[in-house]
Amino acid sequence: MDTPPIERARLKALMAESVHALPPTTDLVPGALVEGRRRRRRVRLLTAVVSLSIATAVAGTAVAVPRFMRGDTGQTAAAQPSSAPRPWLTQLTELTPPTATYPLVERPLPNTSGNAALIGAGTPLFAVYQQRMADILHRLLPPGNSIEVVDGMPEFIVHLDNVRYGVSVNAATGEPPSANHSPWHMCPTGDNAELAAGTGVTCTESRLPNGDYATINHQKWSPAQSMLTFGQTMIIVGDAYLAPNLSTPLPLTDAQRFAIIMDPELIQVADYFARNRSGRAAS
Amino acid sequence: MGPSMAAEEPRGEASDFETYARARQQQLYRTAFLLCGNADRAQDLTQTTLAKLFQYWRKASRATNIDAYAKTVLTRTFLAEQRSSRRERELHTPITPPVGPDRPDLRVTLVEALAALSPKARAMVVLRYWEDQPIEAVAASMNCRPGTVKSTCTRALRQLRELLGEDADLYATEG
Repeated sequence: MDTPPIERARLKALMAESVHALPPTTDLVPGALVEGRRRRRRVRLLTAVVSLSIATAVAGTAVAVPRFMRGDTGQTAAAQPSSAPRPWLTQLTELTPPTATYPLVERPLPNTSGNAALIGAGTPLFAVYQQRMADILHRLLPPGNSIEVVDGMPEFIVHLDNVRYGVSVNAATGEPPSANHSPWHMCPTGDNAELAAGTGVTCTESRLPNGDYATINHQKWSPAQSMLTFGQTMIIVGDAYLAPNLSTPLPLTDAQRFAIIMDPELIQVADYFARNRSGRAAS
Repeated sequence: MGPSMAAEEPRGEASDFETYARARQQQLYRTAFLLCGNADRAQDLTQTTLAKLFQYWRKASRATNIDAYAKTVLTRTFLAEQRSSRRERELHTPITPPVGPDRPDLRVTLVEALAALSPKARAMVVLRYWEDQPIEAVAASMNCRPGTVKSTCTRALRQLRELLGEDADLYATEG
């Protein structure tokens, strides 16, 4: 239904009357020309910036993604860890039992990651390794802690100040890092850093006595992980979320986390187990 | 204007625009006044509209109806400014509500009554009844369906009648 013509005419007359008393405007054209040119420049600049950003992102992704897939960090060959341990730390030839025995407990929630198969759980070596690692963690974690070993998993429950925490220690050698693990053995730089920042990862790094790197990755939605490579062995120590009521991150500073991951005994034990384990994943 | 910028503009573009803008700025200014109800804001709105027209003059000058194109730019600029901030809304909206026809000593003007409408309804009424644009053209300018224009204009006219009164005399501006 449209408006009757008489009402439209009346309304238009009223509008005309309203604008009739309006004083003439000053010449707006010069100002419009200046403003129009400024808008053109701004659009050109914005277009250039956006185009450059897209080109950079595409090029960066093209370089970074294959590196991520390979576990590379974009460093030069000289900065890569050597294939054999450097002299600052020797490889163990045997794994001695721990000084104490730590209780074995069931995992609070069933594991679905397949880690047990990967690390060769169930072997005699694994049992010794777990106890040795528990011993090392007991020494490195804040005083007053007590440690339980999770049966069949490279995980530990830490009791500290009446709170339970989950810790995992993983070691792998001679194979690409698991998809569950950060492939970085040093903090990403350049395009990789931007890519990492975009996924909510912050990374800090420290140097080992031989010049290699240890890193700590704080991820937005997953536990903190510290890691390093020792020869061909990648060692990862992280907070383990074993159950909903066991998901509090360990109250550790980065310095404390570095002290743990860079501990010579922890490195040697993890490396020994990674090199000597049997019963790796069926694949 | 710097020489480098002059070189980026096709020859005669600025003078073509100036010719058009000088011929139409008063008309745009009046429409802007009906939209926003304030002479100073109307000048700003008109200048911004002209600046946008010049920004895309190559496209605008090829339009079948440059005037309709300019009115669309004006309307959308007005609505964008209304949305942009609360401050803008306060500038375009009267602080006190219009007084109805039950107080003949305080008759409201058409501009005040228009200000009582929502910005979209105001824009539709101005384009439809001041610019005499067909419903389809108003709908295209406002990015809505023709049915929405019809129903909104009907409601807006009813509201204007209530504010201004049925008597023709009440349509007259105050004073």
